[in-house]
Amino acid sequence: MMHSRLQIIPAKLPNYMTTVRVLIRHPMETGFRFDINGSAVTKNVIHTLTAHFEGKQVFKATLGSGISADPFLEFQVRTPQSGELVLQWQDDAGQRGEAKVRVLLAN
Amino acid sequence: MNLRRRLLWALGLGWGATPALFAQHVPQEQLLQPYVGVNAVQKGRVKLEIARLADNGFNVPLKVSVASPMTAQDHVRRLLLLSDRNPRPLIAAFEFGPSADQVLISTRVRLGGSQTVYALAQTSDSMWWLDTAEVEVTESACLDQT
Amino acid sequence: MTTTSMKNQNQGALTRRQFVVSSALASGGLALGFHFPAAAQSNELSTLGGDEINAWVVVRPDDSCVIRIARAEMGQGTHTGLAQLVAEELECDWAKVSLQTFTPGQNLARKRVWRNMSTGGSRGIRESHEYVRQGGAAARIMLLQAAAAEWKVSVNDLSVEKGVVTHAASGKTTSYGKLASQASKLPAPDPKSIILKHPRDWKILGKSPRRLDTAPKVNGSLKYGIDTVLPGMQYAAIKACPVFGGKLVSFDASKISSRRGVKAVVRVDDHSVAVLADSFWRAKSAIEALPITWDFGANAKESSATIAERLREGLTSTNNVFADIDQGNVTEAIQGAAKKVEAVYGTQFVSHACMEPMNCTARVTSDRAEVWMPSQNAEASLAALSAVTGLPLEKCEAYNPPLGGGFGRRGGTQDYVRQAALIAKQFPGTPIKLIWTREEDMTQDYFRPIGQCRLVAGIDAKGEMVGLHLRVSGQSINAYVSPHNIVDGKDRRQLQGYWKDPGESQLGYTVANLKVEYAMRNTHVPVGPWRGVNTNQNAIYLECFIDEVAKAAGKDPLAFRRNLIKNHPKHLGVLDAVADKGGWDKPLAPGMFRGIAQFMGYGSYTAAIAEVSIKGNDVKVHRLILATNCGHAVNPVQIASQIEGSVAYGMDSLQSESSVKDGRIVEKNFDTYPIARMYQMPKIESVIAPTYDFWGGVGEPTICVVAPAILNAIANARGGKPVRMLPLKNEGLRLV
Repeated sequence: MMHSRLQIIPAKLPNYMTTVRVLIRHPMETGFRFDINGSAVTKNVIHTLTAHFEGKQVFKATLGSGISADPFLEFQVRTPQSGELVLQWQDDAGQRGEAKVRVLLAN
Repeated sequence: MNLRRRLLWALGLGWGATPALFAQHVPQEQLLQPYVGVNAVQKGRVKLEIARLADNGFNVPLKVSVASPMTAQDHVRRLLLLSDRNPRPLIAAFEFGPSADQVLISTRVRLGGSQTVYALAQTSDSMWWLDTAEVEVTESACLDQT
Repeated sequence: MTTTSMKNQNQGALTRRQFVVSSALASGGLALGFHFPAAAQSNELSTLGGDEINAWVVVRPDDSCVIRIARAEMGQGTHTGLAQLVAEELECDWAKVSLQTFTPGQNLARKRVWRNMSTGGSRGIRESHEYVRQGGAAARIMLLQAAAAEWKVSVNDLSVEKGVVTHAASGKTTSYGKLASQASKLPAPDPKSIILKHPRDWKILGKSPRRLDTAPKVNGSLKYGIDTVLPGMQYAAIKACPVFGGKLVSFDASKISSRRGVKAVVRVDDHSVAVLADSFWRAKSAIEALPITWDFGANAKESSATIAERLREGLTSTNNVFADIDQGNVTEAIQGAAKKVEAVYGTQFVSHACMEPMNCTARVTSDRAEVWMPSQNAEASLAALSAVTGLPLEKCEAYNPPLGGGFGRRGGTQDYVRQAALIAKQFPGTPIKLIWTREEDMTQDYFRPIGQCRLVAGIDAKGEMVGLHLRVSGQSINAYVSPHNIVDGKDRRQLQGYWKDPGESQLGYTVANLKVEYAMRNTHVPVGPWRGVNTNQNAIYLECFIDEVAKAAGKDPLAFRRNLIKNHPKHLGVLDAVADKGGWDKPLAPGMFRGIAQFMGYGSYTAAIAEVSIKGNDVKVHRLILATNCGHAVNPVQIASQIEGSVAYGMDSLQSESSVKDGRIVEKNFDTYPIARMYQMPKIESVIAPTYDFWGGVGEPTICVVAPAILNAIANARGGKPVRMLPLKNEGLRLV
């Protein structure tokens, strides 16, 4: 289970933007590092991250070794009503991660 | 030829130093071609914000936005972040669905040396838009040659 | 080929001091040739009462010229050299020149008009000479245009010398001071239209005007980073985990908090703790008494022995090794050779040992962060400060006075800036002066990487080397600091000096069957660039081995090299120059022995001859002749000074070692890590032989030939027995 922190700043009114902020604990191993014996450390990065709101995909990120370790991502999602926001991601080693949050609109 | 490339030539590339010794800067056309093909790329609508100087290049904050009403008729399909120097040019690619709102993304990137970062956006009318930012990665610049 | 022979000025300490003092007085009263920003009120760089003609040149009403300098001064004379480059094209009076540095914030505010501020890789002059000369030329053109406009004549009818402009036809003259205001309003000339002077027309370049920083350094008025004093300042002493990679678990502040002057004990990061006090002595004494619990981690098991074992494995392994050169058939050539020579060489970790230990003064608030520190790249310091404080670059500033030694320690590794900022963040508004003790400095270095080298050569019946197989097994700097710079898993940088391609660090020998390999074998010890970087150990491996091969072939070491080097005229050029100056053909006094070495690095070619005598285990280096072709010689006396300094630094690396025990560095101070002393220094003779068809570096190229020349002389003094595993004490030898 990949540890993560998911934070949202919900829209003040329906149909306005909700800010989504996620920080995932992951080394984003580039594959360019070398170990003590001079062997390259196997690449393992989170390659895909998706955001679904009430079951519909609203955002997709393809990431690579150019994203820093412990990847941080902040993006905007339109939330027409209160609902569930689900973030899912997967890395090269096949490990999956997920974070959910309930978006409650002010009105 | 941008400043960084000019300095690289002064350092010895022009005198026959082997290119494989350290990473080259990929020219813009070559960098964008796999994504835009033969289509034109215009500067505008995209705003890429990175600090002019970055520390060691392992953790560089980046913010990118695209001016777009994000309606069904007029929205951003995808946004790409590219590096003209990293060993893998594609840093990240973002796709937006019908419920996307503003395109305003913040993240932290790894930059393998002083370079130009490209933010390339494709809008729903299949047009391509670009912004670039030059970043001096100071720690790696201190090492000889690399 | 122009040959300048510069006799060593250092005939004895007293004579040198007299020379320096008299030269400073002879300058005629230019009190302080520098303007360093100590604290910038704004991002505007002062014009010091004059007019800025362009970013590089300010002219004042009294005709004095202020030249802006982007790079750091760490004793290598770059400030003076860069000023000479501008002054030459500016055609001002050198006696009226002073120089001014600026902050990285000021550079950024002007969209990096002064470009790169990084000082390392022997690039200070060779990277910027063209555009700074253009800056001087552009300013001259604008000043002449101002005179032409005032007199309503053509610029082509004007001449200028030492800042005095003359219109020959009318006899009118004026000077830069009077033209500056008008000139500063003119548009800059198109850079493409600027033609720079040919070296044969140089009046300031190629000469050796007195350095602008000598007097303040001698009379003590120069302020280094460690001299920074700010109101309300507190002092910090720091301890990082002695085992690299270990963590700070806890510390018991209560045991020292009642000590006089102690203000606080703080965790700096996950592996360092600092004590703040009202004096450095109090902070340092307190931290020595502070009980600290470390989690040393797995690296505590590492030692020089475990490291050596790993390097040895790499010498013959088929794993994680690549061939940078593989021409002909080395295996066959050596197998079929009449004679074979094989050797394994080893070089140790060495420390930078800057005279001025790592230090940084920081002041951080919620909306501004500033640091004062010796740095080889003020922009790197600024970027590190911004990253650590989270404040944008525009709210940060870095002030970079001259350095008490850099040698590569203070450029790419800004750890001392990060530490000072992390501490200062915890005490907003209070300036915190962090100074490393010598012990901390010596054990928390980014060391020259350790390595071993296996060399095998085949000699034919005629005594010619028909095959050479060289493999370096050692730690990679790139793997430690910037692994993404290793292309295709091949770290060519560790093979500096062995490259086939010309221009930077080319192998000077032609061998029909040649294989040059690198096996990366890392350690937990942090490594980084140490003046000369990998040319140091690589020159030792190859040049000492070539002597062994020459001996096995029954050939004179110089003649043997001449035969191998004949396709590389510039390498041969410095070899011949040093042989000529060193009188290779003349017999030596009984008991004296010679050694020779040549190598290329940082775009320049160098060769050295050392003359030594041995008595028991005591090695005395009597004389060292060093020839260099750096392309263009900006300041020959300064080049000779750099050569002398590199001899001292090269001798450090012969006699000292940073060894590893229980995961930590053993040698903490100059008692166990001796550096070259005055009495050990040989008579040094420099031959500067520029060919004027390229611009090579000076700061580093000369150091790599010092150790192998001395080692080859020692081998000769011992009847041919080489020293293969450094430092000298491994063979029971010491320098006297």
